[in-house]
Amino acid sequence: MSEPVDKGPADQTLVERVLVDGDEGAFRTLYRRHTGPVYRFVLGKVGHDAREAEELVQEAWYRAAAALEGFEWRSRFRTWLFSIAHNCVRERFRKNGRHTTEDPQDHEIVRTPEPLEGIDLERAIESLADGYRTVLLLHDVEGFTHAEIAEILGVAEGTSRSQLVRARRAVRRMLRPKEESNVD
Amino acid sequence: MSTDPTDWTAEEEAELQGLPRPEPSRLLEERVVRQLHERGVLRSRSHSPRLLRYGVAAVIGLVIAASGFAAGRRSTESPEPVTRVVHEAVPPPDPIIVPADCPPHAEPEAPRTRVPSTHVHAEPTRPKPVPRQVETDDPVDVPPSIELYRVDASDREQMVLYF
Repeated sequence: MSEPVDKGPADQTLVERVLVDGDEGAFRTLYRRHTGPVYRFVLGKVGHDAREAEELVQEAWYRAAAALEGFEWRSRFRTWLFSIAHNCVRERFRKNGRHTTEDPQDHEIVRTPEPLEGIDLERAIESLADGYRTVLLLHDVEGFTHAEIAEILGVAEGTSRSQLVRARRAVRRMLRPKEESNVD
Repeated sequence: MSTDPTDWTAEEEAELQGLPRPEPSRLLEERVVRQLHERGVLRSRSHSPRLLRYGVAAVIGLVIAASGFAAGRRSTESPEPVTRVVHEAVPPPDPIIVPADCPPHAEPEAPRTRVPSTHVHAEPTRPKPVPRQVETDDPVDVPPSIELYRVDASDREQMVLYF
């Protein structure tokens, strides 16, 4: 739920070192701090194609480094990097004629309509439609706030909230179908 | 206390955090770093130029100090004081005495140069050099080709005859 504890220098310090000295060590620290979550986020978006996900993460880092000087720290570096990665994914999808389910209001919450009994949490989350799954993972696993999720995905904050509630309910329904049917 | 009925229970939260977290390959990091080097965003590996300058200065200082120490040690460890052999200098030969009745442009008396062997007590042998060793600290360097010899009186007479 929360951001992993990292006792290294603050992101802003590292970014300054990269900008002033071209400090490779500072960049590697930044990279190792943030790449894992960004990679998992992108991997979920591209249907677990590891090669494509790595290409997109590389592109995201390149764009981030190129735009580093203009970053004004109005948001966390992490949030900014996720939004860049998200844009990379959208551009790749547009180029390839694929489409994402950015607005889950228009889509089913669960890709598999019938609740599955006896599945584990991982499979339940995997069964969610792309937008719902993304919000749930960003909020509940990566620890982003709704405001940050709204910035990353380019949606309203309220949308992020409602998606999260629906996503959680859908997962519960899959994990414990009887309990959730009484709630609904 | 949670107000959202959809909030995860502690057990579910733990399960969420235990979800597999795939990581990108190590090669991706190297590709990204290399790309940023090529684009001029990054410079040296884990050393800022400032640190690099300090390092180079320190190495140069060490080299200079080591060479100075070695030179100083070499001069103090010189085994013996330099000993030079200086051959004794011989005073110039006496001037040739010409008799008063000798005409000014007299022909050289060739036979005078020929001395009967009976008058010569022995074949003039070349005297052996008698070097004298002198210990000196002066940086005098005498070429070894210069050899001076001690000549005794009888030899001098002989030399006059040769002239």
